[in-house]
Amino acid sequence: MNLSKEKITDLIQQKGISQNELARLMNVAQGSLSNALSGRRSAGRKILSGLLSIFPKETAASLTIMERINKRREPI
Amino acid sequence: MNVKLTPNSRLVLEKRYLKKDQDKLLETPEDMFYRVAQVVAGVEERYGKRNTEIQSLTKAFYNLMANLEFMPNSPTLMNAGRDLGQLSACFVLPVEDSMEGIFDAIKNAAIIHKSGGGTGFSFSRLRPKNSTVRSTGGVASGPVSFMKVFNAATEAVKQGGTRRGANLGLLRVDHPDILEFIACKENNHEMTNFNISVGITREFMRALQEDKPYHLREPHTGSVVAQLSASEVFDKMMEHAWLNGEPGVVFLDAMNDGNPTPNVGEIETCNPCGEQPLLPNEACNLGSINLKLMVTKEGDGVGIDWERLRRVTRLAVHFLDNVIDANQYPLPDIEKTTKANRKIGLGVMGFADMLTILKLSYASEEAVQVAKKIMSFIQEEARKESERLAAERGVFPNYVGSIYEGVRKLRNATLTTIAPTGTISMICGVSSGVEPLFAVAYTKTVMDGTSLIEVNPTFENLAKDYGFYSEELMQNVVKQGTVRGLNDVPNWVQKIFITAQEIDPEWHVKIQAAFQTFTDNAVSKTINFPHTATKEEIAKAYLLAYELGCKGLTVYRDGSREEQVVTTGTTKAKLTHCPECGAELNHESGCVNCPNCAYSLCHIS
Repeated sequence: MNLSKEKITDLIQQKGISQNELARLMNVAQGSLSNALSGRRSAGRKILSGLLSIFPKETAASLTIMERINKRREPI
Repeated sequence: MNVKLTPNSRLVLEKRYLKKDQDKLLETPEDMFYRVAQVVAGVEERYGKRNTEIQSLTKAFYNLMANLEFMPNSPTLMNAGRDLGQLSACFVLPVEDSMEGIFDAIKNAAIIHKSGGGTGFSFSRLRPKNSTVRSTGGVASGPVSFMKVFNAATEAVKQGGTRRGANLGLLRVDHPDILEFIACKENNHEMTNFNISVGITREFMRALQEDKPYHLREPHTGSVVAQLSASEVFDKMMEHAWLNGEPGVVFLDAMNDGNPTPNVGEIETCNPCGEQPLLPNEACNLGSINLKLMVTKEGDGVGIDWERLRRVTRLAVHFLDNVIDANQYPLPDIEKTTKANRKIGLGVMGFADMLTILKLSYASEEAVQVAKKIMSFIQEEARKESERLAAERGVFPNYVGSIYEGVRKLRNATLTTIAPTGTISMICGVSSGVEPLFAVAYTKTVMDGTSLIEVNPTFENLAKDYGFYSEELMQNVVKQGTVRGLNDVPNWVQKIFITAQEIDPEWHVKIQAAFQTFTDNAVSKTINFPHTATKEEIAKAYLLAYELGCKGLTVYRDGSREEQVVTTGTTKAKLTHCPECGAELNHESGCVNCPNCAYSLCHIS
């Protein structure tokens, strides 16, 4: 799941905290949050449910970017 | 504390399940589970439970769902504690042989579809085409012609709601119009809201084995009106099943052997996905245990967590029995029949995921044994809980005269069903029902065009544990979707991560049969064939299913529906890809499911 970096940066600013403080509030490693925000890693259940508990007005849809699955299968 | 849902399941819940006002969400997934738990535990009041007891049961039900150990069928999650209040997924409606009877059934189906249920019909009671209509002196138009009216009505209703109505239309193999019925979905544009199944009888199977003709019977009197060659009719069925998977079959005698209340009525058909045989005007609510969680460390390895499975099974049966009382039924007749038998259908999901954790291949005798062991355990524990509830609240009202009279005092006439678990298995992030894995890895394309890899987590962990993990390997797995033939992957790992297409149809049938042996109702499963499969291979699977005591069978030959198009609103998509999000669709448990957004289509055009 890809996070919307813009949206989350906005929320962090509104709350007046730093990204590292956010990670601490969410109880996740700073690196995990930073990887998810930069798109290097897909955001897992811990990151998303953490964000939702800190920003209860948001939804999974509002924090992520639409994506689609492609099941790749070549003839066997 | 937030429920540990995967990001994808949160999106699915937001899109399809949570209370909304316009676009604004009015509840979180946690609120939803609490809403459901409260309503389902709340009925204990009528059994004289005190407030504190109800509260602790609410908490237990909440944890059961929030831990993703058990999930009830979708209508329960969506509708509990809301205006509609309709909590069942499966219905069977009678179709009487009269103008009033036929149109009553259409009206009742529309009411059920509106509430998110699926309906099964048997058209076997209708008089054949060209028989006389006494009151008008005209001729009857026959079952297939009336099915078109049902189809059109469903089409009209589905435009109103968010979920489409799913129908199963069944005709007995000894109905005089059987050949017309078998061919009625040849044209992809007709009967788009129906799955069709032929109701097979023992008489027919005997005639087929002996290569003899069998009798066609007038539905009212049962008198013989003609005969057909059993092997020719079977051939026609196989031809059409090969072509686009329809018709499926239902083994009527096997279903009636399992009918707990033969004194009350005969089972004529089942619900759209084939897992729930019911009497006319009967409903059933289902729920599934998440097997992926029912494992535990055992010495150096991993084993099945029987204690946890016992606890979850008992609580789930209690939950489902309560749902019968909490339910708001769409029709008084349905309420009456349902409450007289109190059938529930507890099943499983995540079976394929569990096998990978246990390091077993789906296509193996060990997997068949695990299936039997698990399901016999669940069946027995479910019956014990039903006995406990019966001691407290009484046996089901039709107990006298049922197969259980004097044998076992149960609260519920049936306890177990293996349902297709399309959306609820997505909520839990596990493989659906008792289906195998569909792929070991996916790519996800984000809107700006970047791609993300999603590898099956059990596979990734195993690769790391056994030291064959590399970024390059993961890329190769993604490219191929499976791990078969990859040099870096040890043979035994290739066997564990075998996917639906690679599994010999015989193993699909054997797994279905293993679960069926210990399931009161039926098992919903699709037997996947490669595109190159022949009609004879498909026939072999049907015969094996009959021999092994399955109650029905659904097949899908890969690519055989690719030319078919599904329409949602104004969007049209080929049946290979989801019309709502564009992801590739899976054909499983008699339905088409989107692994991305939980779009599901159980009537296949």
